[in-house]
Amino acid sequence: MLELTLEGVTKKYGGRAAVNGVSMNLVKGVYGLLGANGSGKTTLLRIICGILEATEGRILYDGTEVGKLGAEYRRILGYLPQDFGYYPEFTAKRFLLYLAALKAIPRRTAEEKVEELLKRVGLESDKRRKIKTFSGGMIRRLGIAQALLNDPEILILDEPTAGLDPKERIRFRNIISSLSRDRIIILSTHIVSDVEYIADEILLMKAGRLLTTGNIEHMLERARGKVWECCVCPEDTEKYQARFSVSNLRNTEQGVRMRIVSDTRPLETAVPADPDLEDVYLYYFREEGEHD
Amino acid sequence: MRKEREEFKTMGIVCGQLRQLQPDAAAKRQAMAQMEGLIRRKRIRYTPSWRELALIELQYISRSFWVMQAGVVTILLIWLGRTSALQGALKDYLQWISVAAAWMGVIACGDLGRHFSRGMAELEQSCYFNLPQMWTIRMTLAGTADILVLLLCGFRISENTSVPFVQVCLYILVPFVLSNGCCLLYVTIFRSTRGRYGQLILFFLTGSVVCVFVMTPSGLYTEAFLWLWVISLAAGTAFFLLQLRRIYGKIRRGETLCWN
Repeated sequence: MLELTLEGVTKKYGGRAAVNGVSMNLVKGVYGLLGANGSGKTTLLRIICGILEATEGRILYDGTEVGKLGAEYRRILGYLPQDFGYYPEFTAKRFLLYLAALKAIPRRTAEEKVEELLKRVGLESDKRRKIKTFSGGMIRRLGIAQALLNDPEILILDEPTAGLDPKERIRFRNIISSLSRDRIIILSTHIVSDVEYIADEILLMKAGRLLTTGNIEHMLERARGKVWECCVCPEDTEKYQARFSVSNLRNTEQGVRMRIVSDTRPLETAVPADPDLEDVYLYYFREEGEHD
Repeated sequence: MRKEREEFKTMGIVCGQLRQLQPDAAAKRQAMAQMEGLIRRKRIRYTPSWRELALIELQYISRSFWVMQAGVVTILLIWLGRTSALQGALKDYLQWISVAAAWMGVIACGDLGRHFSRGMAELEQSCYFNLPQMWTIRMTLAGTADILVLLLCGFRISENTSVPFVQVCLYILVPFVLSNGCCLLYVTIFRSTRGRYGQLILFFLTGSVVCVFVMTPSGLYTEAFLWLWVISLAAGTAFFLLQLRRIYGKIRRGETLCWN
């Protein structure tokens, strides 16, 4: 059984812990890693990829420590970094062939795979163009393609949809959904809607710790009874925003319609509403929102 | 015959009982999962040989690297031919070959720095062939080519000046090793996009500073000061290896790969 186990993974920079004692067990499926900026998502993903050395703890792949597996672990890994670098003078095809060579894919197989992936991410007609002429979205799509080159068993994508337009995001979601059957996919983002549709499980990170995990229904259930909707005068909007965690504001003819995340009924006129994943996110991260 | 029939009957009873035995579901699941894992790991996997790896690396080393190296070698050969035609002394040969040797080191290390300056190091480190392996192959390829060129020049100088070949090589290799060591140091210090300019400036400065070899007094190129050159080469090699060890350690820990 494909299994990735994290046992008390910690990464410290001086006295500060960027990742603090993260333990979890991942099996086949899509995991959405959500957290505010600086919550330790990228650091955790880098540790899982073996790019950063953990200060404490260990990671096991099918019961074997990944450090011992070395190159064999990297062979089954696909990774899209948050800051995706590239050689600007390379064409898209040459770039993918280069990475295929580093991933120890035989040349003939690599040629076929590159063509297939370029088509899949919609860059087929641009394969002979130099990357320096690409838009941000095209570079991101190229990044997604390179992560899939070796048909990885563990696919790690750090902010994969940053810079993609809605159509490209839908295309990306569909690619990930079609891949999710027989591999572990970890998707880090702060765009909640990205994971809402495709993630089997949500991992919430805050200040280097894994705050909570669970499937979307489970998460929504936890936020049930904590989301309220009410209509207020436009003049009072700022006052309520300062007092409560407001997940949405909409001007209507009756006034300003507010969606509030709160443990108790915020206003007499407030009525309970069905929570969505953004409300859940706000529920767990509202302290930060309030301080901001 | 009767005994055999009885044994056959007993076996039949035992087999029947065995068939009725229900395996432990959890143990069966665990065994199946272990088998699945073993089968997955047994997948036919291709591993290129070192020769293939070297060819791959040669294919992807930047064009600018080869152009610059070729430029330095061409200048060097023209200078050698000119000095030879003018029947120059040992110092006339060594002053410029030292500068060229240093620039060869600067260019080789500058190419290694590209992995960091382009933000590719993190991605490359996650691949089957990771950054230290690629660097080792690249340094071996570029270093071997450079040293070969320098040794050939050394042989020619030795022939023209009647100074022992080993002695000439010693004079040439000191600036080469020192510039390589210095540039490796810069690669670790300046590794971000903004740092690329810092890196380039320092590379250029190193290449320029090495021009002081032009001013090396002729007296230092005598057997009396051979000990000084031996010490310099040993110190330079130690410095280079120390930088290499430091940078590989940093790459392994990931500190130098991640910008944020």
